[in-house]
Amino acid sequence: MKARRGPPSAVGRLEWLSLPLLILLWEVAALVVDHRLFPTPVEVFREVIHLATERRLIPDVLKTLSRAAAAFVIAMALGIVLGGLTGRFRAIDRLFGSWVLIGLNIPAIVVAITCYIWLGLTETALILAVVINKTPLVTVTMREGVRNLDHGFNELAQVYRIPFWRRVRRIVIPQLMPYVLTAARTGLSLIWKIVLVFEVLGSDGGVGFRIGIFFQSFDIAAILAYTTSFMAVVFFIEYAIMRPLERKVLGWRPAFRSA
Amino acid sequence: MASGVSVCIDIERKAFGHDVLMDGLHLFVPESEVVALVGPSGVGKSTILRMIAGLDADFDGMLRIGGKPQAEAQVPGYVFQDPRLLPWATATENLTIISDNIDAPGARKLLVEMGLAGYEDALPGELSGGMQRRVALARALAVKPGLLILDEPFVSIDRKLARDLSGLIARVIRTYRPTVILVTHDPEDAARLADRVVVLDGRPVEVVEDRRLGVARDLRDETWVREEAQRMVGEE
Repeated sequence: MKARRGPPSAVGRLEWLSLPLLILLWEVAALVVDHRLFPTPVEVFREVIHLATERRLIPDVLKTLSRAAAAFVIAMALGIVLGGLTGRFRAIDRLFGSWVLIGLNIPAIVVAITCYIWLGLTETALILAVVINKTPLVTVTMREGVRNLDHGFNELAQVYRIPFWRRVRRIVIPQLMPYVLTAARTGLSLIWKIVLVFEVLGSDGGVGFRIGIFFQSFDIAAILAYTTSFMAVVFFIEYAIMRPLERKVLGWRPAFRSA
Repeated sequence: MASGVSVCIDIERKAFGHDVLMDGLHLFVPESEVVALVGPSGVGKSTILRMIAGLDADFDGMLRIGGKPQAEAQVPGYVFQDPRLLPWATATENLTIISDNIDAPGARKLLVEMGLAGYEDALPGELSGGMQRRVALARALAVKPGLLILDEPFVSIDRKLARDLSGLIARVIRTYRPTVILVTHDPEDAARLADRVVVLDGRPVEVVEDRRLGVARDLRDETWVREEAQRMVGEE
């Protein structure tokens, strides 16, 4: 029997209402407050057009995106390997458990400042700082995934003597994919935030860098224009990459089949 | 499908910590014989199956399948207590993933043979419990086994499904003639399917009864099955 949470079409329609509802609330709030430091969505949209035509916005967004992408790929790769090792081998988990705990809890700003002091205000320092902040989270998620691998499937593979790589590809990876996608999703949201903060601290461009400059002049419309543009990119990644990917690799799960 | 292989079980000692489960258990199953292991829960029936399948190698003694040590013997077909199907793979893929002996058309043919026509591309989550058991049986047959291991194949399903599955297993036995080692807690299942019933009991476990069933499988009716099951219960 398939579990259904409600009519899928109705749920789908609600999702499409979500963003317009937020913009509407913003518009109403801006009209009620009626202050130059609280621009309306229309004013922010005009600012987006203005900044884009000035040819500053898109290069800045691309720069931040490239940094986030580099940090994301490195952190995911490292986290998957470390999570796999700590989840599979108790000795490694015990040996490096404290490192992961420190990594999870050390303030991001401390890592950033330390990296900037040691390596200078460089691209490498910024990406390294983001990787150091993000990797423990991926590690912990993947460690849980490896710990939760179904022992029954392991026995199945053992009885039928399924070759190692086929076992990894067809039995282990499908079980880990929910954890990989969770790590990716939480990782992306964390990385955007960290990259922007680190760009404010010290960089030669990017969304965070530019927001830092606008902050000095209290140019709230420009700040929100950059934020809105960046959110548009986030939405594109969510709907054009993450969700289709989830449907493809997790489509077998009851929750996805009934959605 | 390979014809049945002999199974020689010579277990000198098997223990879980200080708990000695087996202390000299010897059993020989000739080629293409269907043996039912019956006995109370926890007596070690499933442990014997796990040892035969190579899932438990922590014992003193020897296991030979088709005259070869377990690790070198042909892969057995193993039907677990639960269907244990990969939920992300279709019914056909569940067969092809585990074996190089079968391709997709072969797997589909086998599924149709198991009464699953039209469900070859279904995911396990889209199949009923009975259908999942049939896929699990097809998967065990996909390796073309000389030895078919059935670990409580009728547990957790209703009587009607169990009877259907039992009929299907009887057909598989008739068609492919594998050696079968069946573990069941239900003496009627044993009486319906087995050529020979081995009753296990005690700690360490020992064979308390080892008896061939006189009537050919195809000639057994439900009255005979019930009477034979009653006799087994008396022996247990």
